[in-house]
Amino acid sequence: MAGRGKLIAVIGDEDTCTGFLLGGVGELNKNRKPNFLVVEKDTSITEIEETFKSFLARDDIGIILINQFIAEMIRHAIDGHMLSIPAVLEIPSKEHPYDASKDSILRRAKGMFSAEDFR
Amino acid sequence: MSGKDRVEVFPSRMAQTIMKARLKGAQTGRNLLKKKADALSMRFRQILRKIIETKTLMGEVMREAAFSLAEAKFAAGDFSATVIQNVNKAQVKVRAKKDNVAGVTLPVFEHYQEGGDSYELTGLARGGEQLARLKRNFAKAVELLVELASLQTSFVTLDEAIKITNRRVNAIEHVIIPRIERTLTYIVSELDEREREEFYRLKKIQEKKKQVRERAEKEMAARLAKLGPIAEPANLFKEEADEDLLFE
Repeated sequence: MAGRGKLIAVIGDEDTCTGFLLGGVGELNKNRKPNFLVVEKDTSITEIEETFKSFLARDDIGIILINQFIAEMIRHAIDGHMLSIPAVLEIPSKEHPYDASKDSILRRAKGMFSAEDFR
Repeated sequence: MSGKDRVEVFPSRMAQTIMKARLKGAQTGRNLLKKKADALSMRFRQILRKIIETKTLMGEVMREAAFSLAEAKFAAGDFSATVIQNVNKAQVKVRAKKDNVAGVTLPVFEHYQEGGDSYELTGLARGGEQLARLKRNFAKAVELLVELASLQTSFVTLDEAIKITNRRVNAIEHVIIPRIERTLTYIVSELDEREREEFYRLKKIQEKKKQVRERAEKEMAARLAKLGPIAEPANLFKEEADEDLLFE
């Protein structure tokens, strides 16, 4: 059922957010709340977790993009999210290249791996 | 959990037929569910492989996008603050469509454009080309990420579906079918015992009848012996003169 469009949320460092905003995913909803969070060095983990939970609670967000090093910080909240929508995608940042062994989705599938290896 | 129990039913031939039909139904159901679980697992593995490929590809695309961002920053100066302030409406959104695999509905994301580019005027001063390239790179990255998100949601949904189906298969195999089989053996044993009881009862009745008959015969013989030959009852054919006849 093609329904009303859902947004793509971003939780990342400044460069990641800037890039994706230029790609055109940013929006402020009715209450002037943005669908992205710029994480600086001094952003507290609680704030990141709060934003993540609020994104999950919003029903107009279909995908949440999150930098992998930030995902590490709130790993327990991400692992607790079992629903299929919104989809949580871990993306690499400039300083931290993509590390497949830390991805929560692939870890769930670890039991299924036979000949597959993280290439 | 209750251990060795069976379905409470009155043991009769009809109940036996019904139970046999139920057993057949349970076995068919179990086989069908197993096939469904196999189909889902196959699809699951396919998706997993695709996810790994796409994730590696995504790593590269993101790296390229980050490079072009650095280039653009070098050329156009620091535009991050401007970009973040100028957010109002999203141009790229996603739609959730439903896809059906072996009876399981999977959500699939489809991205679409809406509205114009709100950052058209950024970089007008300098670095316009780098910024345009940067926008294109990130748009490409977004497309790839939407595809990846679809794969991921299918993955999670399939995982749940496989777990549920396997749970049902196990339940039928280890609980329902043994219960029905135990009920069948119980019915059969009860019917056998009833037959044996019936047989025994018949035999007993026959014995009793024989005894009664023997006793009756003995009594007859004793009475006959006491009365002597006169005890013979009146015979219509042997009669010579009948005193009731007045005229002959």
